[in-house]
Amino acid sequence: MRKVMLAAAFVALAATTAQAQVQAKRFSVTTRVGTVTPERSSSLDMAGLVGLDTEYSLNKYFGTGVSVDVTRGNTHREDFVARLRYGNANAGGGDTVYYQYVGQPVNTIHIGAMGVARYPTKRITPFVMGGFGTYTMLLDTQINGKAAIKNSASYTVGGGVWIKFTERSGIQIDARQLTMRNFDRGFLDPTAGRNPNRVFPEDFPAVPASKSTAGNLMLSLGFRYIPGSAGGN
Amino acid sequence: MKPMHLAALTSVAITVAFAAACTEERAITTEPVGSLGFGQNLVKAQSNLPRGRVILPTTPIASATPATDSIIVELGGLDSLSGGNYVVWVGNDSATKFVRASGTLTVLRTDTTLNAQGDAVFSTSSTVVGTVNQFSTGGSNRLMRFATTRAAIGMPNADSANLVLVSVESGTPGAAPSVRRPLWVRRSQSAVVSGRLTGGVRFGNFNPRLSSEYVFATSTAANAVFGPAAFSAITVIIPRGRIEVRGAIYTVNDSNYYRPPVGYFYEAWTIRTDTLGRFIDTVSLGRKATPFPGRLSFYDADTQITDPQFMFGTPTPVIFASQHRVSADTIAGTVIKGTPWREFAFTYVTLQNKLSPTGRMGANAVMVVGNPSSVSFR
Repeated sequence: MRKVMLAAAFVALAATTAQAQVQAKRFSVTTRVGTVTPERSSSLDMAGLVGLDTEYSLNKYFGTGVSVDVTRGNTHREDFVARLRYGNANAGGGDTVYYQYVGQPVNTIHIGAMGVARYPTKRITPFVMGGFGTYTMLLDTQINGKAAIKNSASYTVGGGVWIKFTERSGIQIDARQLTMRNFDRGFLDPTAGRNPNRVFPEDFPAVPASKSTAGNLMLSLGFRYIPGSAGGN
Repeated sequence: MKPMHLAALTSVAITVAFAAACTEERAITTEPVGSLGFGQNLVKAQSNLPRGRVILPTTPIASATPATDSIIVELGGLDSLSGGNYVVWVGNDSATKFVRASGTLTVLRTDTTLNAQGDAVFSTSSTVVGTVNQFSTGGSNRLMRFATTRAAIGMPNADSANLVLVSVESGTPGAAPSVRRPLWVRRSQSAVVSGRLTGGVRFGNFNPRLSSEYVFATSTAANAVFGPAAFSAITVIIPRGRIEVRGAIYTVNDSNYYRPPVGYFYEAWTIRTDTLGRFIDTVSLGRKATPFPGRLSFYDADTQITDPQFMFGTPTPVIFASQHRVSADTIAGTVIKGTPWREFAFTYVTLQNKLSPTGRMGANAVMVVGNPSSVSFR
């Protein structure tokens, strides 16, 4: 009931302020910060996010633009258990095995084209967006012993609201689902599968099944700005 | 919202984002977890497997004096049975006619001790059990001598005594051996030794067709086909594996075992010793099973393909991956002075007869290793 009432209030607010706020044929720039929460099967931990949206308003209701997101997070270390053996298993004293979680930082850059559909009101403008692009994951060269870079296609869907503060500025709150295609969890394993734990598998956390795609929920708060002499949202 | 408020809100958001992104763990890429593991490789032992010899009558059919047509069966490496008996049969070459043999059983026992100089001293004793037509006695240090004649077992004079077979019977034997036929000698595989026709006992699964019999072995390419003939020709199946103890968990990870003969299964054991190296306790590490997560027992691998993912090959399938796993938390007497598996100095993988007492290590070792001192403190 509370959600229904809130939704009704939101619609009422929008209805009472139904007035075009977006000027066509204008650019806007939004700098965003937030978090990205990858789906569990990707073996990536939640990370911080910095993003930049540049949009060109085709008309009052539609726009198109480019979005760039940069994240730096960690792999989920518990998903990468390595057995490090010391000594000789054939010798009298046997060998000693260290069990270690092995993680590493992951830098991800996502660049995509997007389209935006919105319903402007006086102060609040809800919008939905969608787009496609590419993502690039860059791993630490020293940890991996080589240049470790992977890129592939991605697509994004999401939505949010713009809240106007001045004629030329406001904030943007949005949620997006970034789906990475051709995702390879093995790429994130610093050991490259060389020292797997096959001796005590049940004594360590279970690793979810890998997938060829990775969903990433991005929540961000942005500062929206319209350059030029005319203000907007 | 005033610009000052906007700036403050943006600052807070940026701070939260970077705090989430820059934890103090970021620079640490590895994290040791749990106890260390200590391990050592198993060594193929194949010691004290069922073996022996049979002395057959010189002629297949009865001689002029059948009472002197001796049949002598000598067996070693038999495990004592609690749920069945060994039965000796004499049959023809095609295994279509069998006669259950009765004869005089003599048990020879060899004990080994160390003298003051540390040298091994062997002492042998023998016990005449008497006339029997089945027996359940066995043990790693016992040899069985079963002696009879054609006349004594009532074999028709015209029938060929070309096969001596030892079966394992769980109930009253019928007119022919049960499906458990682990030991046999054929006349065609025997040779004259010191004037007596003698054949070495084969251990495995008897089959009337010589080409189809399965002789148990741990280092041969025989009786196994895996895909292309070129591959099979060079494939030698030798069991190998490794033990590892990590905290309370004791594992044996091994592979490349031929299916056990019918009526047998694989089990692993660890042995606790005193300061003089004497065995003072034996603990089962469980029957062989498939690795995690299946953990399907190979107990019936003698007659079934219990898991085709880990057991394949024809006509004699091979167990290609297995694991034994136990925890000291669930077995009394395995935590010594607060340390799991302390003083447990050996690991064995054995062939166990299904009719032998449960939980008692048998006589037939296939793999063995002295546990590392980091485990045993020995």
